Amino acid sequence: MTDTAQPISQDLIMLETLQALRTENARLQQQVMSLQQDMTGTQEQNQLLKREVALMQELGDVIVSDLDLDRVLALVASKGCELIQAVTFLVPIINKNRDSYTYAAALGKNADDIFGVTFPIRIGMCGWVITHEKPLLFGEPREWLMDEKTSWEEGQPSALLVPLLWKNRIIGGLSGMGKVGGGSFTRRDLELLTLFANQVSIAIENASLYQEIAALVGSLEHRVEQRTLELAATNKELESFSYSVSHDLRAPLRSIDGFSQALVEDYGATLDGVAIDYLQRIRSNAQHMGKLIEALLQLSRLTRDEIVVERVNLSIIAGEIATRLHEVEPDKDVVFEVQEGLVVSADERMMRVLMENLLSNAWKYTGKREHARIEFGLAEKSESGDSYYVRDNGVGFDMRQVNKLFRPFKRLHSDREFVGDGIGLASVQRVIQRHGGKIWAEATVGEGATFYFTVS
Amino acid sequence: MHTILLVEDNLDHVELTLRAIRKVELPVEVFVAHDGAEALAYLSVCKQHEMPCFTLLDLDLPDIDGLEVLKRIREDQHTHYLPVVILTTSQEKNDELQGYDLGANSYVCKPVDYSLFLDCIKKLGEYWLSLNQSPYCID
Repeated sequence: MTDTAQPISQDLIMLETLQALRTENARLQQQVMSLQQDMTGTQEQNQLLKREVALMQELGDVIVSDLDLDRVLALVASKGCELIQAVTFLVPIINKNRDSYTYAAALGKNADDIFGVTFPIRIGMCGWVITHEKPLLFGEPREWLMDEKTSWEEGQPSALLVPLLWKNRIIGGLSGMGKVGGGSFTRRDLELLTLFANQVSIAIENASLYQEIAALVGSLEHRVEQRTLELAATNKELESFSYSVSHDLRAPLRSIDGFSQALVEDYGATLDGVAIDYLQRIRSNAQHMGKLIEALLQLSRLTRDEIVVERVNLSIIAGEIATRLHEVEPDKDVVFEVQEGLVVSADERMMRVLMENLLSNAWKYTGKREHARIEFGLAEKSESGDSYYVRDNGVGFDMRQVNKLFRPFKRLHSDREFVGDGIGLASVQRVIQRHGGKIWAEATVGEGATFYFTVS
Repeated sequence: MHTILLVEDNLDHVELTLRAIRKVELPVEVFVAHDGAEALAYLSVCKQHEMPCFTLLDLDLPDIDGLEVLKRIREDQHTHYLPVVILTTSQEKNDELQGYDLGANSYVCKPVDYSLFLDCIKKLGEYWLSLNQSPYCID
């Protein structure tokens, strides 16, 4: 089985197999019935036939009900041996590369020596049966179902071999060597073994498919487990990275800010205005960097925090944010239009980060504009996830820059125009990604921007 | 005069914290321990009436880390009730929860902005020195 094999296709093969199995069983049932009808002749013969038919039915039931390949093979050997009364019964199976066969089951005399041995495809009677895809019977009276050129393995008074076919493809054979109590295998034995072989093929194919599927499932589980471990390790790494960012990078900033202020406060009398201005600049930069670190930490938390999915009413959140923005800047001329009742299944905390960033951005980029308008609503209902929008009639941006929009620290406007940390939309995108949704934007310079998103 | 214990390894932060305490005029003596071992050694020789009113404990310490120091303070009958304020730059939720699990009385993040830090020291002093009833301090 190759790595690229998909479990789906395996399932299909399995289904196909089961379907074929049913058809095959029905056909066998018919054969058994016609056998029963053929039962004429002496009482003794009748008894014998009845026994064989019963055995055949039992065999079919037993071997196809097991899905463990080794057990199926062992069962086939034991039942086959019983069926034709063989001294030794062998089940050669063709190997994957199809240039050799292996005795996958062996029972009776010398079985231990033969079991598991592999031969090149053209060697021996089994090789002949496998390569010619024809049955073989010899014994007394002289019945040679084999070409003249082939020579027998020595010391076999009688042998009976039939090919195992699956969907017109040879997969191995069934082989009886020597009849119990001397004598010879008969044409009747050949018929029975052929009938049996049909069922065996199905059972073997069935079990080996099952085994492959089980192995595939096992390897998939193993891969999932491995990926989970890798992911956990990456997460752990990210966690310790954030920790050191949070702790180690902020510590020196505190000192820079603190000592700058101490200088201003304790030695301000001996410093001139320019010196004090410089110290203030040092402080404001330290504080700005502190905020950037904070924003980065927030971004990393959005990446690693666990998602708790619940019903989240985006309309209510939007309303709360709008109220707060108005409270902070009461003089700003902005009208919010929030469509009611927009509910998604998502992580509430992350949805707040999302709405906060989108609405604050809209608020910020409407600037000093008169009659500013910010809308939140449902853009489109879809089975793959409804899309929502946040629209403003602010400064907008150049669509040629749109691919830079969601990158951390990328800003489309200078700090002189609009202050920002460059992490807001990166956070928004992270939230959307973690929810398996999409985000995109449309804008016109001077007319405003619309952000669309889905939460799948 | 009341005592407080400051456990902090960063000498700049020690200086800034001591300056803040002077600046907001907290009526205290400060014992500075530069690592966990020094803090525990100091506490172990304190008689009950000499115990600090409260401890300002940094988490990221070179030898025994802050959370371990806290754990040992709580395990020792002698220091069991000592109020411990974790004062750290870490905003990790995990540190915070672990701190509370181990019996921290408070968890405060050191702001980068020194003006905010001054305010923070002032409020901590007011609360732990006058409002709060400290188990070892007798007025």
